[in-house]
Amino acid sequence: MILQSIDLDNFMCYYGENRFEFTEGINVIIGDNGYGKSKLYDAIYWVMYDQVFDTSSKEFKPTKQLNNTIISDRALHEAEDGQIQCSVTLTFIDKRNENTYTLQRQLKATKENGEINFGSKSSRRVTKKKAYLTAQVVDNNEEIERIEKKIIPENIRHYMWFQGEQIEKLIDFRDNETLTQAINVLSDISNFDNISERTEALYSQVKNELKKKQRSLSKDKEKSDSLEDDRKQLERKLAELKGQLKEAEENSRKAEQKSSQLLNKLEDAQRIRELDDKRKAVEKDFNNVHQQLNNEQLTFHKKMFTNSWLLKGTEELFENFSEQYSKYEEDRLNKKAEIKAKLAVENELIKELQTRLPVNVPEPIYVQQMLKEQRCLVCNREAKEGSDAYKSIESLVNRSKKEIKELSDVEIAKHDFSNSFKSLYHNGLNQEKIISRVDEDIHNTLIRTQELLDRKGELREELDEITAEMENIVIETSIDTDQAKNIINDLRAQNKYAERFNVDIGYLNNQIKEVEKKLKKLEKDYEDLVVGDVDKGLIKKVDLCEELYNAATSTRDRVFKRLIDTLEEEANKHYLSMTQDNLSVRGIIKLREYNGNYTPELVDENDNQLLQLNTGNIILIKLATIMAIISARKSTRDTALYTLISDAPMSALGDDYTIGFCKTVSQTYRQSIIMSKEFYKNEDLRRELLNGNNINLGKVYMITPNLPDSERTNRKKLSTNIKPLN
Amino acid sequence: MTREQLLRTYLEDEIFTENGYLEPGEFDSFEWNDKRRILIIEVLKILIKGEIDKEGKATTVRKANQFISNQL
Repeated sequence: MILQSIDLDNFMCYYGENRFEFTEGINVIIGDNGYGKSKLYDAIYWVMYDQVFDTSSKEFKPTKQLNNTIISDRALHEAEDGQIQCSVTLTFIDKRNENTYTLQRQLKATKENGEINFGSKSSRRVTKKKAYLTAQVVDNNEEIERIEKKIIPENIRHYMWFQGEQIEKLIDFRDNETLTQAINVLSDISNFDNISERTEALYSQVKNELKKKQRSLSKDKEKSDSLEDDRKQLERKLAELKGQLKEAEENSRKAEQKSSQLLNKLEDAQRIRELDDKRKAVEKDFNNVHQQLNNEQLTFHKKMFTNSWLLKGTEELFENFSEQYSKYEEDRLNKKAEIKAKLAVENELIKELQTRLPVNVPEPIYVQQMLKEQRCLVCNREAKEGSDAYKSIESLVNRSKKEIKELSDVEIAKHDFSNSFKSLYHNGLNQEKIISRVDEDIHNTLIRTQELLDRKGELREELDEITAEMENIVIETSIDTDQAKNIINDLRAQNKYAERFNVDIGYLNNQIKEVEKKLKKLEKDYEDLVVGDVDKGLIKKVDLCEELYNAATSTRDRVFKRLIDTLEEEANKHYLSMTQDNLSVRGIIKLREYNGNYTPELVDENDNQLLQLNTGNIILIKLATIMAIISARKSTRDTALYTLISDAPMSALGDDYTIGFCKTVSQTYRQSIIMSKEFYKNEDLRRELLNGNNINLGKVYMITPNLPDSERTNRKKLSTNIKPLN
Repeated sequence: MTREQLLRTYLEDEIFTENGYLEPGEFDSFEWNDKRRILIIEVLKILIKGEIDKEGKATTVRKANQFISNQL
């Protein structure tokens, strides 16, 4: 059956009435994270199983636990008091007979005075419409089960309807029993296992019959009983040893598997460690540069004073001062010369006076007396006032006040700034040298600051690149820095464990051989005690049952091996198809056996395991294996009968594989419905999907919320726009 | 798988040709109601039928054991 349409009415973010129609081929619902892709997947799951995927616990939960999330918040908000209804209707069509089946699930809530009551359970209504007839409600549970089985049988449900997040669990490399379980569920191998069990029980039963007969024919019953006791003891011992062997083999398998996983991660771990070391070194450089830059910026303003940048542009002031100072000095020198000349004349006069009479001769008191008497007391001649003789005596009075003066005794200017000016001038000369270097100094400082800024930017970029690469590796490999450090030690430890368990296995095998040898001898002793012939028919019966047991065991192994080969072949077909359009790591998927369990590996043409696969590649191997589990069941035509529905299966693949995946899915399954964000972000990829020649394309829809991202948290106004792209 | 397909799968095992129960390649056309009634194959059929009919293990084993005893 194929899914013809989904009608959503007030379901989660699908406010109001919404409809998606699908056809055969790959149908794609495109939308960014949080736009409603998973809600569409939930809607299908809700109708079928009354469960939705709880993203926080990563498991499906009954909707009665999550009722308050089912009905659209906007519908609840906008509704008047009364009943609010939400429903999802799935319409399937059986192309063989054109019968149409609808499955509708409803949930009602009531609103009273603004209070909402989610008390009621959801209900489901199934209808069947035969071609050209009216639809009829199906209320017979067996009929409903048949319809559900026609939509998706339980045993393949998990491999046909799955969330991207579930892929890891579906084929869990850490638990290689997952694949064995998948093979058991999806094949008839359980029939062979059950028949083997029956043949073993039959063989054991007839062996006991023989032993009972032998004991009854014993010539020494006591010894036979004793041998029987020994046999039982040895068989107990053998069972115990086999139990220990199984445990050791399991431990060894786990250690080897862990070691293999670690080996896969080794290169990534080493790369993470290298990057971490590099990151630390770059971070140190970055911090140094940052510190230097801080210092530069802090000292920049101080340099206004310390490096005399403040004087920038003051050259003219110094020149003016220099000129003024020069003029001042010249004037001063001229004045000095003038005074010097005047002093020279005055001093000459004084000297001349001094040549006639010594200074203070006659003493001033006598000179004053001579002027009073108007007579020279030296020559006793009359010296009338006003006469030359009087004037001559009078000059002797002034003579006493006059002395020979030195230039230093004379004040050249009233205020002498000469020294200060000189000091300023000399200071100016020094500053001029500094000023001539200020521009260069500022220039160099700015260059250095810019260089530090550039270096800081480069280091930041380098740091970002390293961090991004590390984050990518961490996302791809799920190894964090601490784990990366431990991987080498873990690897050594796991190898040691594996070695130790292998020694144990060798030892236990030897022990088992010893016990089996003893048992054989004991059987021989037991037979030797038999007197007469044991019924040949009984011996023939034992032989026949042994043959049957051996045939059943080897057939089971052969069938299982054949199944594995088919699965491997199918997985490789899908893997090749998905990877052929890009240059990714190629290889061959090998389902490798470890002590009876199988796990997928990628090997080269020489059967050497390819290590260090990225997450995208690992998911591809898993997807190829999941697809193989379904497509390998060729006789069942599962891929033609049932729809593959998957939410975000490509999220871990990367854009390179997206188209390859779609192409392969569209060619493998008659109908598939894929929710994807890859085509939302990458328009080229979307064009390739819509125009791809090798893709058997169904309907393509783009879903977007009615609100911008910034307002999307306001769910009371939220609805979803559905736009068909083809 | 039908009971005949299951049977043929078992008969493909070399033990049946090595021990002379079947000719090489004969398994492919072997029919459930083969008239030769080869004992080991008849016992196998009881075991297969028990599995197909979802019979209890003990019941099937008892039936098979009884059948062999009656034939020998």
